[in-house]
Amino acid sequence: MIASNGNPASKFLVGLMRGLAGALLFALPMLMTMEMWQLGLYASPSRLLLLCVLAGPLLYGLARRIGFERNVSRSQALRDAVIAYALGMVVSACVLWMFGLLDETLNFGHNIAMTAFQSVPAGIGALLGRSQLGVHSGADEEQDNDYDGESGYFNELFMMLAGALFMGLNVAPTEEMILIGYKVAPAQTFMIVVTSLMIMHCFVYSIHFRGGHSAPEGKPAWHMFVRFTLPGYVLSFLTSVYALWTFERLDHTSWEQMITASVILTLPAAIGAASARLVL
Amino acid sequence: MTRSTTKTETATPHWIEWVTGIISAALVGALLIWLAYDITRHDSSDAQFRVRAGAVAVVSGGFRVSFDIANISQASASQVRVTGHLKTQSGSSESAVATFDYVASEAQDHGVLFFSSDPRNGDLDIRAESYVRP
Repeated sequence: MIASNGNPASKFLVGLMRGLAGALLFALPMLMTMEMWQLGLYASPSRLLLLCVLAGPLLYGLARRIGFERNVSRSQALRDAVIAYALGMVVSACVLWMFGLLDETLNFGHNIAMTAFQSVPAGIGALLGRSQLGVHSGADEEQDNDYDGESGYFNELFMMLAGALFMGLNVAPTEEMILIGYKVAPAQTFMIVVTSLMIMHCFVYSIHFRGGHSAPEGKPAWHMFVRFTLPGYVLSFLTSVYALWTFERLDHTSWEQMITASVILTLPAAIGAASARLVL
Repeated sequence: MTRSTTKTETATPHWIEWVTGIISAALVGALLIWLAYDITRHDSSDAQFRVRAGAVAVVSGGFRVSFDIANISQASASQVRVTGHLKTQSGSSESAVATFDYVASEAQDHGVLFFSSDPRNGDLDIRAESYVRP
């Protein structure tokens, strides 16, 4: 067992192990989802490349806040982002191989694409592992408190974006997303938007979750709704559109269906965004 | 790591927070207006398709005929089976089938049928044969 003592190398190793655990914990559902394997076979290489490129700044931004160590310098955040991405790739490749999904019957490019798709959420999971799996370390808890109150408005928006993207990547590739889109009537889609907004706002401001937020004294609740919840919903919606587009779920369909599918995916994405404000 | 206390938002927000909020309100409002409009025009009648044959190309062992299918209704369809029947001038006939997992309402898709005889020298009929509601 590795003890998290004052030794920087030891602390970093503990952070690394947490990252590995986080990548497994957060990415395993996707690694065991058939649609995610199939994406490697048919998805557009240019969209995959864009996802992999965009993962860089996202992981860097997350690492600035929740890296393997509580360091916030740019070079250390860059190091953490690269390590998280690498952990995501290694975990994805190992698990896919163990499941017998990477083999010589597929061409090399398909094996790479299958791993690349999984490595982005696994990389996010690696960084979240540092944040969420470290809650029982008293020393880290004390250290983390130093970072409270630092988050500004754009920090909040960024965290919502990361939370929405993580949830979106989890759900967007599944067949069920499309099926729900075909089954709902416009009135139900309307209700999903209203419900998403309500859940998003209540998660953060009303039901007193740990890490929840509150309106300042004398200010009405709708101020928070306009300043945070509505922008959070728009970010979640745009993230959902991007995730669906990346997974080719918006191809060969009508505008109506594109909006419907995006609204449906925005429901879990909005919950992911709201949760990110609570836990990150 | 998770904060143990409730964080109070600032009482004196930067103007950019309000600008972002107002733009977001406009976008969410536009989405809701679009959905409200969609509710008023929604028609749950059966799906209807329009199928058009496209170019014919020679491939190894036969010919390929591309086609476009459009769902011109507001009802989405799944397991849409498109059949092509080819009657050649010599009197022989053959069929080919393509199945779409989904054809969304008011959407178009594209497929290909393969024949051993040249469809340009015969009578080709391509049509949607069946579907199920998703």
